[in-house]
Amino acid sequence: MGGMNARDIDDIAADFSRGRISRRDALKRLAALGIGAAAGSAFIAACDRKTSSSSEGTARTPADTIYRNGTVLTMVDDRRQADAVAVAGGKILAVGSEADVMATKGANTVVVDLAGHTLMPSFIDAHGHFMNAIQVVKWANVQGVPAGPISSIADFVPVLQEQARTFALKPGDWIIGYGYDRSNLVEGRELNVDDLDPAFPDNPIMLIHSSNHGAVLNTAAFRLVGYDENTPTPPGGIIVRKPGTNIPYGLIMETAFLPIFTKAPKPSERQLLDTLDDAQKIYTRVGVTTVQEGATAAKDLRVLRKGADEGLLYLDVVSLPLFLEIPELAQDFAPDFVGGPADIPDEAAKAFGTYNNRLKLQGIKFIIDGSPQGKTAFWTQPLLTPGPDGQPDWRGQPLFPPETILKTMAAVHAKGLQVFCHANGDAAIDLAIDGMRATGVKAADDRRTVIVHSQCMRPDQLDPYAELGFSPSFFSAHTFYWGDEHLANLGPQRADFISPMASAFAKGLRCSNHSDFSVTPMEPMRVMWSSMVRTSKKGVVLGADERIDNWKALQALTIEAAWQIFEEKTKGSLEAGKLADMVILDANPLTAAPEALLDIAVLETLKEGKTVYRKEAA
Amino acid sequence: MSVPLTVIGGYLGAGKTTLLNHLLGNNHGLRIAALVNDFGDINIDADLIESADSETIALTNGCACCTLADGLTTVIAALRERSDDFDHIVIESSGVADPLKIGQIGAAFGFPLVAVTVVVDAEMVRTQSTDKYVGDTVMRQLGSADLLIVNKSDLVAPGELESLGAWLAVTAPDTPRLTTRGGRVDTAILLSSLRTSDTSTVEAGSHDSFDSWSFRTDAPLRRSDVEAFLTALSPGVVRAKGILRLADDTTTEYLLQRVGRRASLLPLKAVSAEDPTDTRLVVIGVPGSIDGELFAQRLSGVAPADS
Repeated sequence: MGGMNARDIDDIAADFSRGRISRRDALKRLAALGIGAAAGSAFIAACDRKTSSSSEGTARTPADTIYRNGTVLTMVDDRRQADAVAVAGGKILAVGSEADVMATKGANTVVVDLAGHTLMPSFIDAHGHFMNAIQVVKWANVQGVPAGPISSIADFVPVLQEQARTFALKPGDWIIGYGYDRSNLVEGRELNVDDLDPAFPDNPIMLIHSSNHGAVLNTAAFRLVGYDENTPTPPGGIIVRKPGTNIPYGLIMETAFLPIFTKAPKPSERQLLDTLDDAQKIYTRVGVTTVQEGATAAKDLRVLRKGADEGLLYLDVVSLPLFLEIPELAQDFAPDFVGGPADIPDEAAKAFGTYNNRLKLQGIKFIIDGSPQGKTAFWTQPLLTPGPDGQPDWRGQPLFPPETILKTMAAVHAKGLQVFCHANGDAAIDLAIDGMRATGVKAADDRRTVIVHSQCMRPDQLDPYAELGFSPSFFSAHTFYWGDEHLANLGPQRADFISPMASAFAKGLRCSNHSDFSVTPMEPMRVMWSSMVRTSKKGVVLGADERIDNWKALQALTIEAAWQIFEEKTKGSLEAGKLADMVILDANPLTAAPEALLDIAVLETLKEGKTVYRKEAA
Repeated sequence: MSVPLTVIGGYLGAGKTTLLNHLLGNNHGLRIAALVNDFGDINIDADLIESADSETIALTNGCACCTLADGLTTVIAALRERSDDFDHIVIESSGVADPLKIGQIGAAFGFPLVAVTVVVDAEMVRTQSTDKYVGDTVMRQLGSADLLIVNKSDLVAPGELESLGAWLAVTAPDTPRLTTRGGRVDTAILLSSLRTSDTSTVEAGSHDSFDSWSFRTDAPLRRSDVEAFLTALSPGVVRAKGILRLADDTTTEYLLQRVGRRASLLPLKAVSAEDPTDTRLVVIGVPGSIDGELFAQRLSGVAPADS
């Protein structure tokens, strides 16, 4: 054992116990010091025992930071709370009693006084669209209260003026807003050019409708896109005219909107990369440190990859490439690739499952149907109201031929990749069940097929979920944002079973809950609240039996979401060895009454021990 | 002049791409821009390919094939910038899309919709129409068709073809049908351009035989007479095309198009009132659907519109 010294061994022990190096690397370094494999393994096992049990609190290396004097929610079932947490090297060193955790204190350890606040694992965005975040940070939020600031016609001009100030817009520059919807306005009428023109005679304005199928324009914008009183209304479109005239008055929809939208300015790749910081702040200020890009096109993945390579990501971004993009993605690596989505190359699986500069490909995203509020979901039974174009007996339809979806799903599964499948209506869910059942998959295979949204499930679909190992990522906030519409369209029986979280947990399924950002705001407490109260804007409770308690509601945003992306060993709970991805809240969401959840503020967000957000003192 | 737009719809496997391959490879003199979902099944003779990248294949005959990978609206907006390069736009809609909606989107970008054609798998369509997942989608596609192309007719017995025709006549009433196999449809019937010569011949491969009728006059027609003539045409008429002079607008030359049941009368170009151009018109239909004498009377306002 010549040449070795105790200091080297201590370093190896410290690196290993902090998770900086793998067992294999530790053995290699020990071997280099002349310690044989058997002795090395025994040594490592000893290190492991010292740190894996947090309650012993006798780690050899001191903590960088200790958090104490507050509520610590571990999100671990059999020991929900702890007194304190110690962090070292970006990982959790110890969680447990005050005495055990303080035992890790060294000379340079910073001890943070939580002052009664709550520390818990940061939230995981179980499903959303990070590319939308990059886009909307440059747009004005003109959604209705509470998703945005709008409740009347008079609210628009100040919001848009603020937008012009924030981005130092000059006359002639476009002002783009998102989330416009007449139903948010007390006046109950559409916004028009007379409301906007006095304040904005020179800046073209486009306020995109909440459906994304239309927009309100001002006169400067109409001038720029060439719409005037001589413009005919195209078939399948709407151009609202000023009463008594033929002059376009503001709202344009569908085929009248599409040619316009292509004229709106498109950001360059550099501009997109420059907004990555602002986009990530949307997440950090609400305590989210793992972000999903849940339907990634090939060109978007190029932007994300470039951002990652330039070191611009400080949150973990989980990307799910769209199944239709498989050929183009394959061509990025194999220029001679020819074939369709089902011809996914054998090598593809290697690109998945590990972070590279904070960007990870996790699985392939399938989309079977549209949205229930847009009436483009795919149900087995017709709606009680007409379809989006007034169709009677409308039950929606799949977005792709079932043969195409099933064939590609089988190919992706066979290559060992995880399937994420967008399915809202029960017929779309049937298709997902048919498709995965055909692969022969069983729950025991642990493939964790995620059925994104799973909103309009039928009770009889819970058993096949359990059998095939499906994990729903629910969207309970729909009960609030569109609950009243769902009641009208689906009737109470079907509407009450939307995102059936209590039934799914009772069936033993692992369930996450999401905001589908930017479809609804990035607001974990709103998502949690909705799963506990399931109350619509008009105050109607949808499916009281499907309400869940604080604990399950929080798990759906943390450990359950981590499990769905195979990260439950590193994220989602506070346990020794896991990443120190944490959030400090000003109140305890585990004991808060549901209404109080919406007032809980994020004081600080930490990614691997590093502060990525801190609330400014009031 | 605006470039006319044809949508080719129909359920997965009906033969849309085969039809498109046929149109692109055919020596018809038309510069077609074909918009397709992917190149996977596009099969063009290598000798015809001038250049190709991941989004566009340019052919030596002036045609081009573009994928819709960037989205229909993006691709069609880009196409608007180079509309001088093409005589006709053909969009192949996805297997579950409503092709009429696709046509309306194209029309919104300034490409006049001349026809929604729906390709039907003669063997499978009736089964597909009752499928638990896509039955209503298939039925909606049939309802959106201006012209039905009954493909793969060689795969069914003649009696079957007859009962299919009866079923389609009920399912998609008043919608003219072409029967074909291997997607071989006469380009002159399906598409339209001033470059094509009038034709009454139909290529081998079709089960149909057609009659045609040509008409020429130096007297301007009344718009109401033209509209009445178009309305009275029977579903047996699959195609009409003409250059028209109208009495109420003597300084414009008009293009009349009728593909299947969709008719359009669009201003073509400004001309002087003294310009001697005649009105010329050709009508193509199954035997029995063409009555030249009656047509001529209708166009000159002699025959009652409801006869």
